[in-house]
Amino acid sequence: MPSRKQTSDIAEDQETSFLKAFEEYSDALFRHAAMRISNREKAIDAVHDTFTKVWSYVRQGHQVDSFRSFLYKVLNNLIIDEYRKHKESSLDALLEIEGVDEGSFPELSESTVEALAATIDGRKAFALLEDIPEQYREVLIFRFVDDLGPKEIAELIEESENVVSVRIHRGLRLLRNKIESGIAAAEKRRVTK
Amino acid sequence: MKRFSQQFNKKAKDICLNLVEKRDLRERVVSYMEYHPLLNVYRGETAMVSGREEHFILFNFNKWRVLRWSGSMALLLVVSISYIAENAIPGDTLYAIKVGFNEELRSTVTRGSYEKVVWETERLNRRIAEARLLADEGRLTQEVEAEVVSAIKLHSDNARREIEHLKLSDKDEATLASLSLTTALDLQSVSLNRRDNGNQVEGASQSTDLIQAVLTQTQNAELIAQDNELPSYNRLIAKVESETTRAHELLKGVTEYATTVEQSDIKKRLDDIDKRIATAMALFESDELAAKQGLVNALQQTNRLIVFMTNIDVRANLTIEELVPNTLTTEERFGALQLRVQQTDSLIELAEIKLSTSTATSVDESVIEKVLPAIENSKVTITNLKELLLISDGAQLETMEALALDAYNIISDVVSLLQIQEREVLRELEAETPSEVEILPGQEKSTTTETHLEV
Repeated sequence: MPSRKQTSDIAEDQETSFLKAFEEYSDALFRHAAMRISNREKAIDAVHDTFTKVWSYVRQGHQVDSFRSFLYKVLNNLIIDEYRKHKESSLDALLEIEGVDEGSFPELSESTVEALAATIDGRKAFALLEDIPEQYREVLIFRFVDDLGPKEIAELIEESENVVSVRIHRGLRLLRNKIESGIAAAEKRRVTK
Repeated sequence: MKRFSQQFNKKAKDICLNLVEKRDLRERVVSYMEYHPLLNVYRGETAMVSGREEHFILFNFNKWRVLRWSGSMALLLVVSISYIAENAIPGDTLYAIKVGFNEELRSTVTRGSYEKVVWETERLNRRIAEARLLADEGRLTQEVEAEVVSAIKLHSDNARREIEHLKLSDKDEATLASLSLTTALDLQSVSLNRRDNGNQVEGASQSTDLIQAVLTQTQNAELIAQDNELPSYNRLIAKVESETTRAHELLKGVTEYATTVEQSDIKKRLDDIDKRIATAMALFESDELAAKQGLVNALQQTNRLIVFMTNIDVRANLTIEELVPNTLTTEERFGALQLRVQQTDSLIELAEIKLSTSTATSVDESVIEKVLPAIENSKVTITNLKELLLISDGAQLETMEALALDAYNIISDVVSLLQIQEREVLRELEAETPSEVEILPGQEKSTTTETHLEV
């Protein structure tokens, strides 16, 4: 059993680590939340709630090895809750609507994703991000904004790596299609003029 | 992909918290941390959270410890003073704490009207014990005695009020509480009276007349206030049961300091009480009122016995026989009767000797005329009793006891009268012959004293 001084030291370490995590990840978490919720105030509240929930977990005596993934996990759950408040159908239901067995695609490798991404203009894709379904937007933000690998994303959203890779691939393809259809529409308007 | 990522990421970087938003968010989070400190540690958690300097953390830690230490010391001090104050008597510095804090605190925490009556009775006993102690030390001034009287009135009034309150909800309990109070008042009154009488003989310390008067007055008031109704049979049985159990437990407790004789005396009284209870219970079917009266008597005897075992002051002034008279067995009563007959016989003999020497001491003729029939009467009574004792099987024991007592009292009076007569004659002789008085009266007195001692 640790002595009182040791306990005190552990507590100070927890506080220090937590505040350090705030300084380190609050911006990234806010960015992630803002991109997914599309409401600045709600994004700030989501980040606040994320930190308070994590602190509550810590104050009960739990040890947190990696604040980064834990914070993202909590934030993701809060965002899903937020979505569920406003959307009649759940994310799972949306997936069912898609009618796709996400693990069955052959183009799951990172190289395939890279090849697809190389064909897309990042700035245009960013602008069109809100136009694609949430489950794709989620993984694309995790992957290209938060710079998380498929394995980390899979742990966060509690899906398999294959599903994550498929969603990234599909999200990128959707973005590319939207970019291309935008270009085609613009060309058509130009020709019409 | 790298180009896509860079472009995508660069656009995303534009979305960030501004300085004000970040500061506000941090303050909210830190505030939450301050209001929800770590549960499993003992220290000034918030200091680190709010970013204070190290010495502030140290100061807070020490302050907390100092506060805790001071609190503990203050608590210890209060407890110690309260404990010491329990032995204080009027005039002591801590007496106000004893009466105003300790006892009031206990009054406040005492729940239930019956318990409150018991506590007020205890407070009354305490005041009397203090007064007795002061009187023994010669420190019972008029002011202190007035204070004690006032306190006795206050506590008895409080007890009476609680009894009245109890009557509304539980009449039986109120009657039992009233019995307990009157028993205590009676005991204290008798004990103080005995103490004063003893001190008058020894010429010792101060009297407690005023306190006795108040006690008697309070006791009378309580007796008047008492309803003539007795508690229900079941409640009496329950109370008697609990009190006798307590008495038996106390007896076990006194074995360490009481002598074997004292223990035996107490045990004998307890056995007597058990017999009284058994008799009363046997009467229940035929005469419930008599059964209840028997149980009330047994309860009062038990209470007296408890007081004898627990109250050192009462024990110092009264014997157990005075408090709880022993109930003799038939054999013991026969033995006592025979002794009484022998004593009466001796006194008759003494009276006759005194009369035979009456011419020498010139006892008044009128006195002789009065005492002769009395002596004869006693002689006849004793002769008859002696004959009866030889044939009696105990059927007329009470009558014989009464006769023996009468004969004893009569002959005692006769002897006393003759002794008074002797003393008067001697005084007259002393007055007439002063030169001889220096030698003779001393011899005569010693003879008289020796005779008296023999009696």
